[in-house]
Amino acid sequence: MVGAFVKKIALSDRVRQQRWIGAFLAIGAISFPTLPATFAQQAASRRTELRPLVATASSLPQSLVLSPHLAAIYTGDVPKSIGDLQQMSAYQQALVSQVTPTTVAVQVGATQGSGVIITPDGYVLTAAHVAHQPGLQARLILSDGRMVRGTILGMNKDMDAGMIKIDATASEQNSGPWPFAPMGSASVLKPGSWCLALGHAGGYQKDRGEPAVRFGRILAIQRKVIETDCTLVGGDSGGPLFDMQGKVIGIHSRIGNSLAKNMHVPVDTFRQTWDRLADGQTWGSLLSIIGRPIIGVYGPENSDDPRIGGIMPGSPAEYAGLKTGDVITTFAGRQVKSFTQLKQLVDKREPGDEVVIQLKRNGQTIVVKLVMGGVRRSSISD
Amino acid sequence: MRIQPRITTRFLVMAMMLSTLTLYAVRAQSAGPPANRTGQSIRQAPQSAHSTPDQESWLKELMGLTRTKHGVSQYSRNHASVLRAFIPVVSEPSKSTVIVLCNNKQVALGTIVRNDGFIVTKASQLDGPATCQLNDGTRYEARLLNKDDKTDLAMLKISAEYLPTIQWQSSGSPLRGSWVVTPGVDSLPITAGIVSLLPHRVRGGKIGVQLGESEQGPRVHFVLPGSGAEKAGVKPGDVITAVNGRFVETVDSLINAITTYAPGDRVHLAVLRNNQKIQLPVPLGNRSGRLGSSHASFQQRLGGPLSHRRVGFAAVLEHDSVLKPEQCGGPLVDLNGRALGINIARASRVASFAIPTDEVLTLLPALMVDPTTPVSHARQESTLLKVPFPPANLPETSRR
Repeated sequence: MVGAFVKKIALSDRVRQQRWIGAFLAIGAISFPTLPATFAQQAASRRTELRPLVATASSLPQSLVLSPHLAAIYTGDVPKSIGDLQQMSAYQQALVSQVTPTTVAVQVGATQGSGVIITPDGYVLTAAHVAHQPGLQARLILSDGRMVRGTILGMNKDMDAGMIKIDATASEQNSGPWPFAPMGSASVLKPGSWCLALGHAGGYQKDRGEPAVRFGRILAIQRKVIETDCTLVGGDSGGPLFDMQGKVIGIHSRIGNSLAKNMHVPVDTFRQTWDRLADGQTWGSLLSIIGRPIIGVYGPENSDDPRIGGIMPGSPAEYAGLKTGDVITTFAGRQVKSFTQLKQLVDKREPGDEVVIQLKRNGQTIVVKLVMGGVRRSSISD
Repeated sequence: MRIQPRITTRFLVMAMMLSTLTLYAVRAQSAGPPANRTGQSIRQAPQSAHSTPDQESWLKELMGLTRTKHGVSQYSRNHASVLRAFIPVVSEPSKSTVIVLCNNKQVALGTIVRNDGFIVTKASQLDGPATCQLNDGTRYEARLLNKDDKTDLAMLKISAEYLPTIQWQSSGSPLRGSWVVTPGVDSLPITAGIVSLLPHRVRGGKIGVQLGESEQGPRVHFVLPGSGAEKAGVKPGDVITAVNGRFVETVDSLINAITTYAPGDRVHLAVLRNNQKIQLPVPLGNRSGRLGSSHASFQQRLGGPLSHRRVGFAAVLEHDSVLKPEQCGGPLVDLNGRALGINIARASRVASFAIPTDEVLTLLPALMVDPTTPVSHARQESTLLKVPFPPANLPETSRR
């Protein structure tokens, strides 16, 4: 009976017009206590610390010298013979073993992501949606299994860029210098250039320890984003995209529906805003990147009960098992009386938030948990 | 003036088309008619000189005229301009690769492991009687000899001889970053990728209970709070008798049955409670037994379907080649065309799995034992080969 007067509200109209762009790549619920009181002091002391923008010595060993022929392939050409492929394999093996120790698993609260060490004194780049909030404690796991503590510094949410510093007293035995990869520049790269992505896809797993490697090419470069076909998934967030000299050119951020939609933050933004990030400043909004939060349900407006009139295919609601006809009674602990109110509650959250929803189906109360998705407000290339 | 670039483009396209066709002509010659092959051929695939739809799309893609549904751009690592370099790599292994069909539909690839018609494939993809289509288009009815639950490998037997056998590379896994290639039955490989992770264990989902043996079967002692078992209403004292219609009689067999399903999957448990039979649909949790986020499994599926059986392996080589579930079961080869393993699963958005060659080779003798041969004979044979006797070939789903 409800279906007859289902009228798509503004939320669903916008949803239909805009392309579903997938989601951030961190894993797990995000919930934190309040900021530690010592944060201001920490930030002040950080100002004085060294911040080498360019590595003083190349971290590449002699064995990793690119022949002009390989360099030509890696910067946009394609291999043409078995000989080319064999040279690539040999070089990639060496490069992967070189950059693996610089890639870390990052755990902030219940959020799992990745990161990359870019200075010997332990500055780590990650994604803003992994870092979550300046001053928080992070747990970093190196590729050899060592576990060290770090502190979240600054975040540029407009770009999804975040910074962590390994604590000076990370542990008695572990105090650096840390294995690091220098920052390169994404601006000099062209579409067709080859690149390596490392990260703890699916979250850190003891069974495998090392971060998974993926290989691919740059499909598009824009000011705010690099797109590659190095496939990414949850847990990769914050991990490094390397050029074929082992320099960090991007930080994994988000994915879209197709395997060719793997988005990375250009590393140049970290260099441009280093002072602010290292100073613990946070600015911008993640919404400008992945858009408004959605759960993916349509419904009637001004109805007494927030009964679901339709489910977006492929949406968080569908994956959580919500069905047309369900009546949502609470959203993230708040009572829901109408669909308009539900929309307001949804708008207050961020994509990637995990929320508990209570609903009524055939008189039964059902509790489901879902992670909110996002719909982009404007083009990523703006 | 404006027309000039168009003319140039057209000329270029024609030139490329010519060179591509030459390439195909060479391939057609080298393939030739099958020689020395006996056995009953069901159907000869048309060996047309014209390009098939597959080849056509390849031609177009090669010329950058189309973008596939996955949005493969000319810069993609799996663009034909890249895959072309692998043609000599797969020229031999593609002859040892077969298409496995059930109900006239491709369900998997297969790998010829002995020249008299033994073909390894992915067991869980088989759905009824199977047919194998060789690289030259010949089709043979296949007989299922054995399955190995732990690796999800199955052995098919076709009545053919003098088949080109896959060459193995058994001295360990190549390092992370090395090229790996998945041959199909064509001159161009299906896909290429790199080794993402060295062989490692992949655990399956958990329902979140503690179990003990009982006369009736595995009995639940404790239900983990927050687990799928709790959500589904499993109670201490319940005896679990079947998982998705497959009977389990011991704790071990129950665990083995569960771990072949991935976290996020739902299994139907047949439960005996107070001498009453009930069915409980239980969502599987992660390694800790707790239910994971629906978002994680949602992301894994962005980019294409995954294999149903994609977890619960003692060791898999993980690579970043993009496969479809029906492209598993064939060999994964190195740049010398030697098999590093058998592709066993499209596992996630970022990974495909292969059972490493060493493990496949250990299993082959047992998988090749003909189950219709009298047991005593089979025992004798396996003793001679110095391999453990194959696990009892339990009926796949026994229904009472």
